[in-house]
Amino acid sequence: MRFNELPFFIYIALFFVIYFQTKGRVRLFFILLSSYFFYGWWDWRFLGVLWGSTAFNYLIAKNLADTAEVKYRKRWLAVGVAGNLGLLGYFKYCDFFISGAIQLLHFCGFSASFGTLGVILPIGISFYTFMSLSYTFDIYRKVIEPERDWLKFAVFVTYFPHLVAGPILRPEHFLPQLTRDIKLTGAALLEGISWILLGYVKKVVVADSLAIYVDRVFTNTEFSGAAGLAIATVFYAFQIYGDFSGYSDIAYGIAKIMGYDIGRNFRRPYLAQNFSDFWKRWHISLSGWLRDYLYIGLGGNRGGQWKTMRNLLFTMLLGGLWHGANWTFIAWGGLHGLLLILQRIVPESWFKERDGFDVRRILQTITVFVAICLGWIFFRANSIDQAFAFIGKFFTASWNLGLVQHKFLVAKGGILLVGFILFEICSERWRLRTVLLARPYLICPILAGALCLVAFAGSFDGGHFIYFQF
Amino acid sequence: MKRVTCYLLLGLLLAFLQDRVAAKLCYLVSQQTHYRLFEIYGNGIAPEILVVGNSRAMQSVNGRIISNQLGVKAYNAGINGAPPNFVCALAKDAIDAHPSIKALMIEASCFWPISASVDIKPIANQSTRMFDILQQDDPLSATFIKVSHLYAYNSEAFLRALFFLRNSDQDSYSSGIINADIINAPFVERFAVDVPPVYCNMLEDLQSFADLRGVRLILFVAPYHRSAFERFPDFNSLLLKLRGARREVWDFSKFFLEDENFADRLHLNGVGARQFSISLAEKISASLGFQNESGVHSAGGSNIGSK
Repeated sequence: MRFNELPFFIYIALFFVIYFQTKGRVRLFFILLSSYFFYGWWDWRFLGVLWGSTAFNYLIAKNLADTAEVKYRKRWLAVGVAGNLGLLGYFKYCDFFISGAIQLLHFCGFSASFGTLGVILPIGISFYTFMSLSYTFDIYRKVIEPERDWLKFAVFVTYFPHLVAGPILRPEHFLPQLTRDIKLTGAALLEGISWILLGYVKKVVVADSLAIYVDRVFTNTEFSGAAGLAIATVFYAFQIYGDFSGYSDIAYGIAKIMGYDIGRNFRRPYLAQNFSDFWKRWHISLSGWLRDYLYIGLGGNRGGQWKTMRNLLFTMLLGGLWHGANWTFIAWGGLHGLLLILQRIVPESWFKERDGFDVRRILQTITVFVAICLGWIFFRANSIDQAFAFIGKFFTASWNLGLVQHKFLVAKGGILLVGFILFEICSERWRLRTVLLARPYLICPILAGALCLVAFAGSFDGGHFIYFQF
Repeated sequence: MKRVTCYLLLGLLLAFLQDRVAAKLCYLVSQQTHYRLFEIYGNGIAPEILVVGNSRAMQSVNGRIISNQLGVKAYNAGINGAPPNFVCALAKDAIDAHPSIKALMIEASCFWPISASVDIKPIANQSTRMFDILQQDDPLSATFIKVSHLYAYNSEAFLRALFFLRNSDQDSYSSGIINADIINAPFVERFAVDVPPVYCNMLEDLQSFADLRGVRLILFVAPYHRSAFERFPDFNSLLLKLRGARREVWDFSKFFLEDENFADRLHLNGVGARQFSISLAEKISASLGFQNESGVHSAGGSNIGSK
């Protein structure tokens, strides 16, 4: 079920009515059943994978906690990691590696007698697998105690607001919240509705409106001049941000109303002043996961300059691969790895974080944004060849603005972007939560403004959220 | 909690009021614009000759040239991507709104069976015919425009209306010239060879409507670039189907041979439109009795109806 389709609005209204009538274990059980319904709406057959993954990780964690001897603990950890990565590998990367092997055989002059399996990717598998992995790692490291209550653990894994596109919840942050019995408060309702509205504006007004132009340009790259491609790249940068952060805001808002805090996944990433700052603002739950379980696990920055750079590159390459089985994602991750390395090589003052909005900061922010946009070309392209052809046209095609196609879409997108960027700059200075809690009556114009904006400028052909595919 | 609930209810009320006020403002803007989709529903144009159809009608016929040639007002209401049901509804609405219309010229390619659409939300609240089409094609949008009047203006057509607040869109013609890349690019699909019966019925219905109001209905085929004919395995059968028992069809499809008159394979550019419109005016003058400036009656294309 998608957050932007009619059945979801009916579902969530019914959910809240029943949710606040229940408490204790009944409430947890209701969340669990609702989450399965939410997930099964897309394809009920994959509920089995979700159940299997939940049961497997629950048992692994239990055995890890009950085993004292380090040797056996390591074995249980290996089984847990292999099981989770095996699941992810089969559903997400199996066909990618098989087609790679076929190409390699062709390259070596052999013909392959096998083909790809055509495996369908269960929605949200990357998110709940990474959550389960972090749970297993934390139990192994004795950072947390295992959750003995299977119901709480199942709710942790399947909690529907984050289930299909994150954020990747941390057990130590979320599991303790499940012990509380929460009542609906005015503040929670106010904050939750504000985030939900903001999320829908980002998704329906910004992302889906920009998507129309982006899709047309990326589908027919050959008909666009360099200016059209540059506009499409900038639009895509904001499309994917609006799409994913919009989803995260809606999820955050729903959880807030329910009384839970699932953490913010974005913090105005395009106002980042350097590349590491960008990763502290973009998909925070994934970058935090990669930092804590991969980068630090590899040694982080403790082994000198070269090892740090190697660890950065490797982490970002795997971060790219996490997004999907395609060389374009690996190239995207690799490029971000190189940018992080570049930041370490150049003088520190070049990318120093500054307060205020002076010219230096603006130039720094624009430089970082342009480099990130370059990465988005790989992320959006269907193949590496298309990405390079796209970038090549910046140097060979005409920059004549008159050649830009679909001018009305560009005009609409441009107006929306100006508004959105201004909003982002304002939110960098004033926190929505603080403002609203101090002046709750502001929800009236916010609600009215958001509804009218969605009605007047929203795009309703958009369809799915981009990160559902990951 | 109660206070927050009150704020939320107030917010919804404010949203409703804001929606109605903003929609009213948009409506007023749409009354002032010179964009054809809205102008046709106003009362400032009073044309005697109305041209309707899709982008080929829009790009091929220069209403001002025809007006100058014939001394009667010709108005081009061709809209990009217009499907037959929309064209017929627009023609009927225009005839109802402008009793001055004597001749209705329909560029025939809107009846070729391809998928096309126009966002008609902004005019659906002004025309029952358009509302019926919207309800048939997109029932959800038809419901939403009743709930939110502002949603009706969530359309590229309204952006165009804003763009044409001061200048007329009757002068927007392509300035490009077809090149070898466009000529040699393969067609993605070939058109089907038959006009669906439902389209023929729409045309018959429009014909009866026009006859009843004393409006002469003529179908014409605007020029195609020579390379476009790869797309039509049996072009004449399409025309004969549209002709029916009694309808005039003027075939100008092979009117130009030179590349410099075309923006692409399907559309004339400004130069081509100017030349073609002069010939079309002569043909109108000869067939319909509108006298042109020189008094010369000459045919620019073959008349399928007279063959």
